[in-house]
Amino acid sequence: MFLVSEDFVASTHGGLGCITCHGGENAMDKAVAHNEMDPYPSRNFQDNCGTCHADVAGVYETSIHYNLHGMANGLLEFTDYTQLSDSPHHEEVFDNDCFKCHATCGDCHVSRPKNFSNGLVDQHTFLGTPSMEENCYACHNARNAGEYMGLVGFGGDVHYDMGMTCMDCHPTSNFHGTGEVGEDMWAEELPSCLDCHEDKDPAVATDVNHRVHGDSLSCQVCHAQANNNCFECHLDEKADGSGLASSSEMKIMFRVGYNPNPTEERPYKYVALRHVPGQESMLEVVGEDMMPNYDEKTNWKYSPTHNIQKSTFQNESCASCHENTRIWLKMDDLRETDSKANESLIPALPPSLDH
Amino acid sequence: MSKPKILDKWVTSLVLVAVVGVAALGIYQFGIKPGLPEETYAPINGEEAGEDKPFAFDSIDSSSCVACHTNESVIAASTWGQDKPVAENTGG
Repeated sequence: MFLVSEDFVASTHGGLGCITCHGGENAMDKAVAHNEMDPYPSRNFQDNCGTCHADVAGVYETSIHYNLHGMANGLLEFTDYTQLSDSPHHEEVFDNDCFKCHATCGDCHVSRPKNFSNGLVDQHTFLGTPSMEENCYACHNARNAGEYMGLVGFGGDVHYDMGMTCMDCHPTSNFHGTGEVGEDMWAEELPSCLDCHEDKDPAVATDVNHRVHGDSLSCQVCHAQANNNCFECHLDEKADGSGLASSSEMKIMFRVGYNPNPTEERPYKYVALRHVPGQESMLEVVGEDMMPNYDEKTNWKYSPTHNIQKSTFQNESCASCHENTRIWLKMDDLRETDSKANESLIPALPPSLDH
Repeated sequence: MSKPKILDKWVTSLVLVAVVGVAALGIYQFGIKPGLPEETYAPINGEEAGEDKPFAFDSIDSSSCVACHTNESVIAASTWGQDKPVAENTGG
């Protein structure tokens, strides 16, 4: 049972009355009062939240926080299917495991996500700007948000130390959607370091490091710390039979390799990498031959690691990077369960300082 | 023709003019042009109902909900949720 503050009851949202959004009946008998009550009214956000917030509700279905297109398309990449509905087995995986990260309005603006610890953030007060600790971290804990806050990896992010939150860099459209359906998060208008650090653009930079490296290295190669990597993910039935759950080995590492997917926005030759969970047999609990294209996709991915520092062990000197064989991805890093495609990311490095 | 006696006093004349004026304005607003000025709201996504438009439904009396959900002793005594799972590491 959740405690609602009297301040909330007196607020604009509180003035609507609980039953307006949650349903149920105005009765002193507990069973009657909770009859057909919906604890998560924002699952029907068009009819509830959208009555007043039509601008957001009108586009939210295009948000990857809502539709999880990044996860769906990532799963489909391993198959020859073009949509999940073509394969009941893949649809089962998505619905019973991936989709637990699906978020609606209340998961960010009122309560903690159901999958994290649930419960109200602040006695039902509606937060216009979600709490980084209670909301963003709740889902993005093992990687970007955890790294940013110094809870995963070597240390936190200098921007976090300066008091910045996720929303100081990420525009609202990254959460609410734009009305355009994107394939994954890379289709979003993501923040760039150069948005603030314009003087580090290699075209105008006055320091030799940014002029020489800026076009070929992502910012994280020099300024990120070690990140959290997941290996050999496996999907199993939950012990209570209530669905599927995945588990994997986690390891703090720092690896640099070739860019798996150079684009106009991120054309860099070398990038910081992160191993994402996966192995060819990971979905066998659901069906056979679930990932026929497994060896065509890399497990090591472009990592926008969120634990930036101005000074890192790899940018201390030229030699700390160029002569440091431990930070470059190499054959020894690849596991038997890894995709063969990872071999294309192993650079012929470290580059000599002689040229 | 003699002037009505009621108009002999200039104060009485002023009051009479005011009463006639208010009556005329009232007839115009409620008879000739009934209704209040139409409210306008900022359009959003082509919809006429903008964000500042009041919600279309009235609040429903929820006094029974508030009676328990703002009462800390009731909350503390509740066993609701004790059988619910605790937080998982989402791995995200």
